[in-house]
Amino acid sequence: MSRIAKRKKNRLSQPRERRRRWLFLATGAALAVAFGMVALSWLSSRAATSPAASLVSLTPSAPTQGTEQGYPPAPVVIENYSDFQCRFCGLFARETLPLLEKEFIATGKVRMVFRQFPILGDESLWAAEAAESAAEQGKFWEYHSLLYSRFVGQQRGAFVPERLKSYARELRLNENQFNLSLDSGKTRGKIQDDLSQGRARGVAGTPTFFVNGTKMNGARSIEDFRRVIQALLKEK
Amino acid sequence: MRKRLLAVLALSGLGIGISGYLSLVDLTTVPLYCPGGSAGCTEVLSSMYARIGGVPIAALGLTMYLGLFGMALVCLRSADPAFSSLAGIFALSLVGVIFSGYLTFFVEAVILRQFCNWCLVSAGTVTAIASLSFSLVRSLTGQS
Repeated sequence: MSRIAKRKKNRLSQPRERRRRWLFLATGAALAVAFGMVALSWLSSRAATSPAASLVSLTPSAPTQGTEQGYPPAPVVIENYSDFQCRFCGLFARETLPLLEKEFIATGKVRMVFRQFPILGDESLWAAEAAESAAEQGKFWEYHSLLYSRFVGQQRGAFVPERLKSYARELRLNENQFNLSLDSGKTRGKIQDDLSQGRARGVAGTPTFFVNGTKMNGARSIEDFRRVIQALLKEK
Repeated sequence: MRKRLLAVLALSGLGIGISGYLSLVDLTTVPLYCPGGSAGCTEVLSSMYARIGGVPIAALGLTMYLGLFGMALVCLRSADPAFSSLAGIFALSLVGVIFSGYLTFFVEAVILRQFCNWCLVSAGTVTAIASLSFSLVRSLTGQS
């Protein structure tokens, strides 16, 4: 091969080599970023299900009685018809309820009443029964928050009786009493009462709220609640 | 090359539409409509796997598609697109393919046992973008 031809070949192959190096670098970086994201997603989901994370907002900041929390003479009463398998009920419980607790419930302005409205399948009913069984031991709100933090999808096994019993164990409830209550179905009557009362009041989906009797549909933001509550407080 | 870049641009536009809508659903009160029934979408999007450290995955997808759209546009406007831009499109879409694969074949198929149809369309879209961009970079490295 002549010297000129060799030089020409080198000129052509150099950018090619550089491009291949570029491609290797880009692919390597892409693989590193992608696997980093997979790892982050995995760790983030583990953190969401770890007992430490779920216990953060489990303890209510105001006195509780059964499925109610707040001071009894509170001028505003919010009734919440919810299902433990309902996505937007979970959104409300995780994001809006803690803010309401801090601003209105702990300060004696609002009393929150949870009403069972299990309409999304067997696991909704079992979860409602388990929450009522926890209420018998004064731990409804802790159990309620734990259930919403463990939701992975409708009818996906997160709220089957065995799991529900393990959540009770995690919260250090009296296991025998809880299991007996859950297995006997003794709380079903109270749940049916909540359901029939809700239907009679026009509840068609969850969550549905009644703020001093006025109906509000859907998981509203803290601003929506604040506006309604402040208007009611001014009237008092 | 131009036709393949135009296809990348169109597919990125589709991805922006899907991930933008899912981000809106996640961050606002826009109702969720899902092709072929909303049960799977609701379950997948409300699961703990729908966010990484509080950031919705749909928003991460939107960022990726905007990046792909921008790079495809830059390549289209240039008579001789820079190899680094094409390699960038391939690398970014490869991240999307791997992460979509994890979400589809592990999170949706194994853990949640529910499929979100919007997510499946997005996974197909990013896979098509990765294939097209791979064919573009291969043609420039003389391997085609």
